[in-house]
This record gives sequence, structure tokens and C-alpha cells, in this order.
Amino acid sequence: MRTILRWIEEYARAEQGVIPAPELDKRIVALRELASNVHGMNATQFQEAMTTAHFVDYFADALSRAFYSDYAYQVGDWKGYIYPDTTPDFRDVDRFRMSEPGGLYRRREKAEHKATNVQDSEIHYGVDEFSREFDVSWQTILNDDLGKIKETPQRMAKAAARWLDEFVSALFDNATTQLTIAALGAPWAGTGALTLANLAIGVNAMYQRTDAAGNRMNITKLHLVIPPILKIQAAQILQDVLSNGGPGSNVMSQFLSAANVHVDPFIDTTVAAAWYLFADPSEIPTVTLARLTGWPGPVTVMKRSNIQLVSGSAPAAFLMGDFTTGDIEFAVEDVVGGWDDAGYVGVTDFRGLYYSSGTTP
Amino acid sequence: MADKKQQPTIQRIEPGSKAMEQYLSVGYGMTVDQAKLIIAERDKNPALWPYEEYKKAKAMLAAFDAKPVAVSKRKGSTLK
Repeated sequence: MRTILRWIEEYARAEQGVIPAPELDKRIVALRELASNVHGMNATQFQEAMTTAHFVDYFADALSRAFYSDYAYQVGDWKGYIYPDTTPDFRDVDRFRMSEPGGLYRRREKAEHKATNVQDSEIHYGVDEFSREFDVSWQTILNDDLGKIKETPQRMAKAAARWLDEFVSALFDNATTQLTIAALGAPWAGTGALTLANLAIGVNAMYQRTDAAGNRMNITKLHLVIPPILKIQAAQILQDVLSNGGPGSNVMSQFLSAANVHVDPFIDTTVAAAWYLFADPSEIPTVTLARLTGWPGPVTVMKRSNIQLVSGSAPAAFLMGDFTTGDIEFAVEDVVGGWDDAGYVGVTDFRGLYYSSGTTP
Repeated sequence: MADKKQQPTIQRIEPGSKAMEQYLSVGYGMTVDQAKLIIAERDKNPALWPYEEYKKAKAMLAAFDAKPVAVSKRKGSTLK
């Protein structure tokens, strides 16, 4: 009996550092007390002391091992306002816009027509290959009794989707683009935080957009793009609240529906909560995400094993690995791109964008 | 398309200008003089104007003279 108690005491001491010292001392004292009274105890008393008082922590960790469910992550909602384009290969594609001919002039008797002209403007962009690799030994796969390592390819695909959200966000939410648009001043950019008044100013600015020749553009559908920090504020602005005079009194919803509010979790709010208005991509290709034709999204791949079993048998994990190293290799890849201009970065048409720095109330 | 040879043809609205006042009044529903009056009157007698109007007037005056700035700390290039 004393030997058993000494083993338990040694096991308890192994927890030093995991369990706070005073608590550990208390448990050791209790163990010794138990040992000293062992002759006076019957079997029932001993069982009670073992199972209910002091040993739950010592044995429980060996009985249960499990991972918590993975965190849920915020995902981008950019497909509603980003213009999708495709490239046939890795060479840059050219995209043009033709200007409109001018209006009419009065023609006097026997006078010649006054000529007008049109001109094209052009930008180029292409796609690049982005990838990440992960490898484990076949022994690790075999030891993975909870199956968590085997989930890695799916987790890599999710990581690639998160990366793409951030990539798209960086096409327009970055210091260079903001500086370029801010330099254009009002009505291309504003300073107001997201309030009903400032949103009205932004929407009005979008309705004043003209092309390069000064022709007034018809923008009918707008998208509000905000960081998560402005989510509640946007909901409050667009819904009927008492401060707007009750149900049906908020006219803003006629110009911008709640369905067209998009949360971009990657907008940088370190300094201030900036927000953007986008024209619908069917009307203006404001920010373009290019994809390689035939490559609609990230792919996860695994290196094919070069091991061939000649005789005997081996676990499946061994047959997944590399002949030389025993490694099992996975990779995730995507082929995407956008404009990478020195001033506008990924904003392919600034006429479809309104930026507010959120630096005034 | 964004063509750097062609500058936007809408005249840029300068901070502090009459055009800026009109541009902002769309959202705030007041002129600069009205905003100044609301602030002055409420400072003397808070019962004269509701706090929401006072706040709006202050916001308009702040926006009237302000220039948009870049606030993001992210780098420009998308090619990491």
C-alpha cells in the first residue's frame, strides 16, 4: 500500500509547474495523511479518498484529449463590388475605354461641320502565381490519432481564401491609393466619419461623377464598403430608427440598400475608420480582380508518392510519403492579379470610387 | 478607365470654398453661417438647440476646412 502511495506522490510531483506550488503541497500533505492512516481505513474509505478527493486532475488528462473546434474567421464579401476579369495566360491583358464624341455646334449657312474626336485610354494588368507548401513526415501522420494533421489540406484551402480576401482588400485599401484619391479632393474623397450626413454627401458625390469629357455618368447602384468596426453604425444609419422619425422615414435606403453594405475585415482602422462607396461593377470596373482562365479558385495539391511496395506490407501513411525523406507534401496555389499602378494601385477606374478617411466627425 | 493623362474634369472642390459649403450642405442641411449660429447660440443657452443639431453643426465646420488624408498603414503594392 505504501509503495502505491509513493508512486502516486511521485506522479503528483511530476505535475510541478503545471499545478501551482501551494495546491501541489496541499495534495502531497493529503496523500501522506492518507498513507499514515492506511491501516485504519477499510476498502470503502480508501476508494472514496482515491476517487473524489485528490486524484481527479492527475488521471483525467490521460483519459481525454481533444482539440477545440477551430475559430471561425471573418470572410470578405467582395464579390458584389469587385469587377471579375480573366486572362488567357500569364502575359498582361490590355483593357481600353473609348471616350465619347463631343456635342453639336451650330452650323451657319454654307459653313463646314465642326469636327469632334474620340480617344482611347488603356491599362494593363496580369496574373501571378501565389502558393504555400506544408510537409509532414509519414510518422507524424501515423501518430495523428485525433486526425488534426490530416485536416491540414482543408485548412490550407481556407487560409488561401482568407489570403485572397486580404489581397483584394489591399487593391484599394492602402496608403498609396488613399493618397492618390485624397489628392483629388472633394468630390472624389471626403473626411467624414460614417454618419447619415456624411453618407449622404458621399452618395451625392457619386451622383456627380462625370467621364473625362465632362459627360455626367449614370450610376444607379452603389455599394458601401466598411471595416467591421462600422457595422453597427451602418446598420443604424440604413434602418429606420427613432432619430430619423420612425419607420419609413429614412430616405437613405432608397439610394443604398442594406444588402449592398459589405464588411471588409481587412480595412486598416489603426488611425481612423475609413469607408468607401463603390459603383456597381456592372456599371464601372472600379477595382478589378483578374484570374487565369480555367482557374476559378485556390487549389490544394499533394505530391504523388514515389514509393512502390515490392514485398511485405506497410501502413498507408508510409506509402503516402517520399522515397528519400518520408515526407508527405501538400501545397495550395492560386493564380490571381490586379492592376499594380504606382498611384492607383489596384483601382482600375477611380470614377467608381468614393473614399472617406473618417477623420472628421 | 483611369488614364493619368486625363485629369478628372469635375472641378476639384477646395476646402473652405463656397462650393464646399454647398457640397456639404447636402448632408448637414445647413450653411456655414447657420452652423456657426447654432454653435454660438447653444453655447449661450443649451435649451435653444438640440444636441444632435449642435453636433451636426460642429461636424460641418470640421469638414468645411478639412482635406482628405490617407489613413491606411498598408503598403501600396499588391504583389507580396
